[in-house]
Amino acid sequence: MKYLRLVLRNALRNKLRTGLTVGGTAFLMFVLIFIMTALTEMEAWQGAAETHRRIAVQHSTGLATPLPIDLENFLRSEAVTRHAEHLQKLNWFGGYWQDPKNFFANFGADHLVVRELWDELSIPPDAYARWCAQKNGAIVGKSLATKFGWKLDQKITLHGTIYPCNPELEIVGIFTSSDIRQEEQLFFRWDYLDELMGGKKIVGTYWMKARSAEDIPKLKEIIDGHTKNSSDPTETVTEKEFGEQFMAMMGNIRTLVASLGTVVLIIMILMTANTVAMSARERVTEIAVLRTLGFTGGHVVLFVLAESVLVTTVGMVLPLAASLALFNGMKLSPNPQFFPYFLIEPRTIVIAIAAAVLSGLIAAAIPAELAARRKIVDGLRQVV
Amino acid sequence: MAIPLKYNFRSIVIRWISAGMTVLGVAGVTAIFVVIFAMGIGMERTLVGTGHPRNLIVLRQGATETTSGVTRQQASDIAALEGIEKDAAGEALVSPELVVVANHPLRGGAKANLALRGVGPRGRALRGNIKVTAGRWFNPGLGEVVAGKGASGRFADLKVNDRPFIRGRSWTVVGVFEADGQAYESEVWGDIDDLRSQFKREYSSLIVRVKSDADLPRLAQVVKDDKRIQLEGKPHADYYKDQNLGAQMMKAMGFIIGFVLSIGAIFLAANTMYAAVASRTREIATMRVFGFSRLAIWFSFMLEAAFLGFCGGAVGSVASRFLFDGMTSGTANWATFSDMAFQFRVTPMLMGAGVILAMLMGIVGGFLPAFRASRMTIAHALREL
Amino acid sequence: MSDSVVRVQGVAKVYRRDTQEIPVLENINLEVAPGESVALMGPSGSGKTTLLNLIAGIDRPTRGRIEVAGLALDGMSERELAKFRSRHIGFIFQLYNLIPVLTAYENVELPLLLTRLSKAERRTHVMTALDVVGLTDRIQHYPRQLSGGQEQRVAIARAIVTDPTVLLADEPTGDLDKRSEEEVLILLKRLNREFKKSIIMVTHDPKAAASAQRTVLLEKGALVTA
Repeated sequence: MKYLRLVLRNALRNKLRTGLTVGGTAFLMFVLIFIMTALTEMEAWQGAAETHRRIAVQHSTGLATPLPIDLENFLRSEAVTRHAEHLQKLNWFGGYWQDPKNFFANFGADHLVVRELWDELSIPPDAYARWCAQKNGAIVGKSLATKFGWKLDQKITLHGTIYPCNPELEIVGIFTSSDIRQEEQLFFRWDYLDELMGGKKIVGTYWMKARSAEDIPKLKEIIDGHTKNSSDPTETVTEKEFGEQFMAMMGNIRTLVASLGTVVLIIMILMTANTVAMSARERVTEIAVLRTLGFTGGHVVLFVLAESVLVTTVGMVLPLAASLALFNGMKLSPNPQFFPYFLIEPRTIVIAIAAAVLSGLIAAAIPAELAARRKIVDGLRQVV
Repeated sequence: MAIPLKYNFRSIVIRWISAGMTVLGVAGVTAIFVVIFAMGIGMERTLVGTGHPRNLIVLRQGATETTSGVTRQQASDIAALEGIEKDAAGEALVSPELVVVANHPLRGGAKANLALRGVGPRGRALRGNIKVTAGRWFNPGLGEVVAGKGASGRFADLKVNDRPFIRGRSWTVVGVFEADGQAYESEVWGDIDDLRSQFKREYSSLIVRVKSDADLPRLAQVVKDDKRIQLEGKPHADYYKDQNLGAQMMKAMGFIIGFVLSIGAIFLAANTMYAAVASRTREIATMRVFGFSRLAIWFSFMLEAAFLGFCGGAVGSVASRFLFDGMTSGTANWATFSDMAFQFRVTPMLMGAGVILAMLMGIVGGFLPAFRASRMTIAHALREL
Repeated sequence: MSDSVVRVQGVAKVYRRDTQEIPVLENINLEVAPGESVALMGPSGSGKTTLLNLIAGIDRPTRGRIEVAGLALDGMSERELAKFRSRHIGFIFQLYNLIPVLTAYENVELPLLLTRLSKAERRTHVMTALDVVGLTDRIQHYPRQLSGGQEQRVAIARAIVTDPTVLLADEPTGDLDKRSEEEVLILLKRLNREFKKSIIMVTHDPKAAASAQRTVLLEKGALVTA
């Protein structure tokens, strides 16, 4: 609007000061984006949203304890299948390939229901057929395959850390997914794992898909109620809750990271407030002149706030663009082992923009109000 | 070289709003740096200090205690090997152990994984420096357990005389122990045979004390070479050090974040100092006319900047110490999948580092403005009036 | 006279500094007719600038009534006073007080931004004002690139661009060299005689006062001649 020129020129009045403020804000904003992305990445481990209606049955004492095989009979009974379908045994194998540092998600899973249960994965049909035919077959997510340089038909050996065996697998299929994080997985057949383990029928977790959202609480009651007094009580959780237990393990870290972000925001506000205060001090007469010409106190507040927000917003643009290029574009990660992906979410972008605008407003709030309140004659009298 | 220091100090007082905001900004950056590092140091202290230097831990290759399995046969085979220290009674100083993880409620209500460790009769002696600070040590066969200080503080029902329900049965907490800040403080210990019969498992690991330092690598090699056993032996201290992933990541994060934030703080300091110089051109000119050299002017502004940095650093470091030092927190020990209690450690050295970092921020930020002040020609400055 | 453009009745102004009360103006009565130019003279501290500020509505009297263009100022809120100023007052300062980051053109345009005029309409008014003060060749210059006299002329253009009811000038030639002083005084005289602008000018310079139609003397806060 028509006042933009005045606001812009005023911002550029002291290029050095504005430049330093923009620069300082940029660095702080970069840290803020970094922290927020670390937080969202940690939360991403929770897995897909509730829309898939998947639930997991785990031992109530924790994931480290296996479940008995005869629970499967119950889970296939009418009492349960009335509410759910596609039962799958899923064991977190937790092995590595070649080097213990090559850590990724690998599972022994009932292959017959993988497609139906994890329906957001796009598994090529011929790969699926091969997998059903080949006991030591494995299907791998595309981005994981790319990371390790695996090709179709390649033979890889996983070293077991939890299970005392080293499955020799052949890659029979490479799948993709709309959520790229799901491509960081490898599945091989549960019956193959069981064979290597001497037929002991160790089950890590049971997964299934509830027929509807209302069936979920019923399933929890039925399954957990059935096992409550047995020697292996279970806890049935939704996929989201399943993921949340990992977040809960992180515990305080999350709160600390969030507090860190708040402190950074406060420092950003201080920096801008310092600049705004300095500028306001120098423009006391000018503001009085504007008000003599007929500009109201409201105008004055507008000018001060606008200038402040302009500075913080410009300071936000460069780090946002740079981090989008670095993390989303070039797929860099500060710690590839902990964060296989480090992607900036749309949510983070919105928060960054909001933080910039908000800090500009807060920083200038008091100086703007003081400037508007000062008596015109006092302003005119001042020799700056 | 006379430096008009008193003048600088008074000038700061007059521009107290600007100076105050700069100090707060620098304090914030310092505090962040210090707190993150304190977390890393705390985590590290827990892990790196753990493990007697002449202890070997034997478990399945590539596994951790929670995922490993050692049979009784293997255990007695190893106990018979050469080079193992014997205790006063002539028995091998070996402790078979079983580590089991259970989801247990924390004091706040949420749940976390608690590590339950069954130790052999020589388990305590093998660790050294384990002190009972409340109650007494457990007696075997009665389902008695002792809780480490960290575990007792973080989890519910782990005080003396409590009877927590863990993994299918009630246990009785008869004591609380301290272990010099080592990782064991996050665990609950009981008798190995009690746990074995409850969980129907054999051992997860074996802790072995060797006779001499040379025996450590030698015995490790013997275990590794034995194809029958398929186990590996590691120095106990190394086993814990290797789990240090979390602490290392903290420190790395601290460095990156601290570094980038410092640059922001430098800009803040520079802005303040530039404004300070600009508003005092008349006084600078006057001082120069009265004979203060360029260098004196430069130095006095540098000191002012360093002083602002120092104040910020002091405020940030002291605040961090007050608010965070000794604070117990817990996080996931990803290797053992159990809760690891640690304490934030704001050491004096860390505080000193924080103050120095802050002063550096001030100095770097004030460098160019001070330079500008010193370069000002007197005539130009006087003309500005 | 009911058709005065400015009417000051029984106005007094007292400043409060901490606990001290300093009377600056006492019982001022003044009337200015439309098209009149009045010089307000008096020694420093006599309150002339204060009176000017009160008439402009940038300060409020402690007692008394001020009317400009038939509008009573005492009932107005700050907002209304701002509106009043933009419509009825053109102010000229001793130190010009141009906005340093705006060009001469943009400085003159500034009061028009408060109106609903379009950009093209604003341009017409600005160029007219600049033409009157004789500065059409310097419109893209910033104040620091202009001489004192030129700056003041830009300030005058700014003051007249909205065609206000009355022009108020506070020591308009106080900071100028002799030649510029003359130029400005001639300009002001022309605005009054030719364009029929009402002008109230505060000055301590007898030569400046001589260019006005009437002189009023203030001494220790009271009018000596009306």
